Amino acid sequence: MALSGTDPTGFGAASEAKPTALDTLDDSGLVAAFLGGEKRAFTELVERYHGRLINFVYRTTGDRERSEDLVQETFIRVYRHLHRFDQSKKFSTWVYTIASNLAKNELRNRSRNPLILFQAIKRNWDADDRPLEWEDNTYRPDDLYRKRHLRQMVEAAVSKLPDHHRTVFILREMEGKTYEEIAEITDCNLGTVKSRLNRARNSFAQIVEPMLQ
Amino acid sequence: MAMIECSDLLREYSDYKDGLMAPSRAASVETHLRRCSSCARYHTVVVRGIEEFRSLPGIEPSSDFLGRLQHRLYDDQAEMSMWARRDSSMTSVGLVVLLVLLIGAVSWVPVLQVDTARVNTARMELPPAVAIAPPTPSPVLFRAAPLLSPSPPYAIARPASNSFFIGHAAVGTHVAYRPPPLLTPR
Repeated sequence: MALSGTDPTGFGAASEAKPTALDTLDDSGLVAAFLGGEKRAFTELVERYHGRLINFVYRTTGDRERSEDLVQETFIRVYRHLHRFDQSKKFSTWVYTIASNLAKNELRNRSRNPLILFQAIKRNWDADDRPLEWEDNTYRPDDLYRKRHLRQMVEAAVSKLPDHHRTVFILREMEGKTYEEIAEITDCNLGTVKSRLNRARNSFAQIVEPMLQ
Repeated sequence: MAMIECSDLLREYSDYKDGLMAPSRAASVETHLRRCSSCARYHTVVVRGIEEFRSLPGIEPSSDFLGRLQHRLYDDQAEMSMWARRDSSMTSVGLVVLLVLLIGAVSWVPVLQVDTARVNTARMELPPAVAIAPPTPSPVLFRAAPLLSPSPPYAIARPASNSFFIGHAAVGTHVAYRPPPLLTPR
């Protein structure tokens, strides 16, 4: 994506053209640079977080296409409100909070239309839609079958968790967030985070246990 | 070292797994795991299951993600600029309307004002009082009607030749009348 001299957002930065100084800045440095007029710092923030956020929202909602829309909406809100962001806080917590709230709203809206929910889950869990994976040739066929089936069971187990348990589970196990960060992102206290995570792990174990004989 | 039960382990498992447990308590948990096959199995399933979950292939963003985001940011900024201009113009219009209303209100004040001082000292010329009697029903003079003929549904008062009746006749009322006997002239 080439740099555009008439780009009002300053967003269109090519990865080859941007200064290496932006690469070396941490998130707070990028935020400060953007607020100081360096528009390409926003591009760097997007490139750092868009992959992780898409996977987080995808695991939360189960809808790959919708997850990209929601992450785009997340960055639009970041762009609008970055001037009001408290720079003493962690940028990653803030951006995950926005994405989590959008995913939560998506699930709430979907719960009012069960047909859409069913179609989204079916579309994403259909074996034909799964990306091709290179198989490990050292595995025996039954091992390969068990391994693939285990992965399906693991994905299904996570998708079956209640929404608020699933969010906490993904933030902890997939995104590696601390309890404090999870509490801030989900707007809960630490005790609630621990309780939800414990229940999520318990439910998860009950579902995948048969495949781990 | 305090002994713990299976229910304790289930309740405190996340603290243990995430390294938030006090060392002495963690040692008690490990001792229990060595002794309890059921809890040991639970621990194994959670650990291996989460390992599998973390090893799931992530989805790659579509190649046009950044391009689409740029377009959306363009549109969003343009829309926000339009609303900002509209807000400022609406504010200006609102101020002008308010000013006009204010000027109009101020201009009506002299018209509505009553000069109380002048009212108190002026002599008011009143027209002379005229007594008007309430309307009385007008007398109706008609001659006594002949005997009613049966055919008409209503009576028609017709004056008789030499008899009079003074009474009131209201508009629209049916008058059924039986004539008095003929008066003999003196």
